[in-house]
Amino acid sequence: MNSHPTSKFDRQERLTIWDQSLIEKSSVIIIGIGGTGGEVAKNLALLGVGKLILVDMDTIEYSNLNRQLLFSKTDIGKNKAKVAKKVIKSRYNSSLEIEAYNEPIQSLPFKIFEDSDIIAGCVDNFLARQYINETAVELPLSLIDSATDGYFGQVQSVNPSNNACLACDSPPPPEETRVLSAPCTLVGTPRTRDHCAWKALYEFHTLNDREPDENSSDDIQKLTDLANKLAAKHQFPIFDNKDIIQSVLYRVPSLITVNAVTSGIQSQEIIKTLFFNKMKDLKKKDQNRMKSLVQTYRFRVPDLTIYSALTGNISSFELFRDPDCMVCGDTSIFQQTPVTININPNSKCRTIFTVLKRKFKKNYIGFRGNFIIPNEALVKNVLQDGDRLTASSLTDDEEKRVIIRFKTKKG
Amino acid sequence: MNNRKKDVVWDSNISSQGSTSDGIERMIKVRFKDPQLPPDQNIREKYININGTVFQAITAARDAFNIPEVVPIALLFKGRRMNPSNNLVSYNIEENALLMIVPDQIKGG
Repeated sequence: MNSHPTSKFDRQERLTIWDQSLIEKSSVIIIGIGGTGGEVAKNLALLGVGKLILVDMDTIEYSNLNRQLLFSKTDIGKNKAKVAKKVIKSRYNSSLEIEAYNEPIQSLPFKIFEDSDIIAGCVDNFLARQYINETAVELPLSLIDSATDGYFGQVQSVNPSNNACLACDSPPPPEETRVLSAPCTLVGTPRTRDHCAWKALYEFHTLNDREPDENSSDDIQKLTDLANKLAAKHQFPIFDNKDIIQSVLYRVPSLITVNAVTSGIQSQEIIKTLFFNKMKDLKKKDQNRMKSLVQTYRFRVPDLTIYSALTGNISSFELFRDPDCMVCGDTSIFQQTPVTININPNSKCRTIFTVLKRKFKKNYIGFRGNFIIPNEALVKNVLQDGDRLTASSLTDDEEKRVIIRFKTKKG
Repeated sequence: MNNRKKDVVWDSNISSQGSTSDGIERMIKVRFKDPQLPPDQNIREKYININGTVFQAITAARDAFNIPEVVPIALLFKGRRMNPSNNLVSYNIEENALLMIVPDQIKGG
């Protein structure tokens, strides 16, 4: 019988091209702690990653429990990131450094991304994906993004400037993303009946600071009433509760098996990307081995991997960068040097735009993702030192990226 | 073990490709590949109108593999995801080009 191994990671440490200490020094930010993200968090904790940052503003629902193994019945209604933090720490890896955030990613301090080695995108909507992608390209930081839909799962690796980002050659996003990501559409006149439903959803978010619960008849009624107010005003046919569920509360079908395979692929690509990005920190012997495997294409991080549970097929594809991409293309604002504004955190946000106006002779409005920066709010209540925002000119379509730096008392 | 006959479908039915952007139809033969199918069945050849849109090519791909409308698909060409509203000419597609079929609109977490 073998003697008891001294390390919990003994079996993986026996692998060639493996450096446990490198993994232990790594920090991964996981955005979305649902069916895939929860599994990725568990996998990375058990692989011995040193620091995990978990982000999810969602709460645990009864229908999550068949596939989100970090949660139990007693957790229903609690925040996913916070519960996951507690469970992972106590059940899987007590020495793991772990942070949990239950806020929209657009409100996260930018520094969190800057301090991470890699982003794991496990979100369930295009809007959040868009923001994560832009952040990854801007920093630049490797992004391993996953998505599932019923029997299909996919993992896309973004290595900014080297391969395609999530926006490269992408067709126009679905209707809800266009509506929600175009603030002028949100505040303007709805042009279709569906716009009324999406604007109602946005209003629901604003009023209640949470997602509507599709199992709550109260929430659905509130949403229907909000949508009908707009529909009546703009002379569109009114909605019934069933219409609203179909229009805006549609839930993507999910299977635990597909989540498990997809998150397994994603976790493995994260580890490979960490090794690849930190190749120079590997032991000399492993470095040489890895180099020769890379040269002969026996070590690679596929740009896109697709798994079908219906056929059992896993296929991988190369995706090339689009030089005209709105996000990673040569003329994108995320590729330009941002404007730095030093500001007193106790001043109002409008000061940012006054400074910009003085500098560029234009009126600007500010966004973080699709969130509008409120002019009258205090800077310290909305932004943190090092945060970035997009300033959009009201006179033309020109946009700039702005870094906010807090002035210290010394100046 | 693999005794399936290679299933290559030829289709020169011009009218099934839809109308063209400039009224001139120039048909070229392309190969659609659906990696979900077994290797000896996953390529089908079809004529498409090079002056048409990517959307029309997607329709042709659906036709070739009997993929129903409810399944969202996209086409990849030389590592680029093809935008359905673009014209095919913008991708410099040549005779015998290989267009890869991938699932589209996967977004759940």
